[in-house]
Amino acid sequence: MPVILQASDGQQFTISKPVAERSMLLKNMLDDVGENEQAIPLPNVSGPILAAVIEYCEHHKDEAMPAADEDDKVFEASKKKPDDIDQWDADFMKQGKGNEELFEIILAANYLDIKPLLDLGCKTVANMIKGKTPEQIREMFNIENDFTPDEEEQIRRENEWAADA
Amino acid sequence: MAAQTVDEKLQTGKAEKDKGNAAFKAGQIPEALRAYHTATLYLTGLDNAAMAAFVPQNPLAETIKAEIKDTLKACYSNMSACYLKQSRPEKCIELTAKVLALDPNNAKALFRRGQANIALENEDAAYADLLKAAELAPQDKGIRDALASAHAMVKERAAKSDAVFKGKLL
Repeated sequence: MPVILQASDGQQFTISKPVAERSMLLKNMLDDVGENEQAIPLPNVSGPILAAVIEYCEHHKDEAMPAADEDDKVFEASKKKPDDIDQWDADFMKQGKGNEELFEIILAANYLDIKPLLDLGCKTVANMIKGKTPEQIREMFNIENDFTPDEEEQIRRENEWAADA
Repeated sequence: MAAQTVDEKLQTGKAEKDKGNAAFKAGQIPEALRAYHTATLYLTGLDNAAMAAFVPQNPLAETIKAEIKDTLKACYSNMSACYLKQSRPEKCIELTAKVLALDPNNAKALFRRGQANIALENEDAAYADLLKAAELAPQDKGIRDALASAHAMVKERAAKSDAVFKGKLL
């Protein structure tokens, strides 16, 4: 039986149960309430963002679910590396997505408890930051520079050793 | 349909929680769980302060934050009671952990986790939680009774292992 989701703007999406169950939040709920025709409200995700999240879940619906507490028990350094992103995932994060959309996807992945998507979002942001100067990063994320020139010079000196690492 | 404001979401969340409480009192556990789940859908993810630089949001007032937290705590706590009624001790433990993360000295959550651990025959864990619950709520007879059964289980296991060792030595 399909699952109906309703985004914050009222937009409804009908998806299959395996797609919905990529979200641990939805899986826990579906486990408890059984099959039901009522739409599940997701008041903290907008329609366009929910559409993107569903696209991701559709693509990954047949994959094994990651163990819930895997990260707590074993630290697998390789999984944390930002450069091992699957090609489909990389394209998915790039396609027409501005910064605000990217961050909203991260928030939605956190809200819906879809760990692989949360990891993908964070890796994507890490890759955007990598190799950039502070000025470039400030510009990219609209961060105001609240250091005085003196403070900035001091920080630069203190961190000189790390500059070419 | 326009998206709801944080305050409207809080009110909807509270209304769902009340619906859940009514269903629970009527013994309708799946309905109660559905309402509590719906309440948490409204109440989680409201505070995005950490991402404020990227996703614009007005900071939430402290009173609103406290109200969200209290309502969520009540939902998690009541869900743990539902799971206990449904004989799902593992789920009960999962939800009491969420309550205790928000409020480490919550006697009810400790009581329920203790009962779940008795059901799972984790008598040591049950005893520790129930002892703490009894200290926090010394008047509660339910807690005292559960503590007595956990204590009896711990003693019984000790007596059994004693008997095994004695058998080996004699």
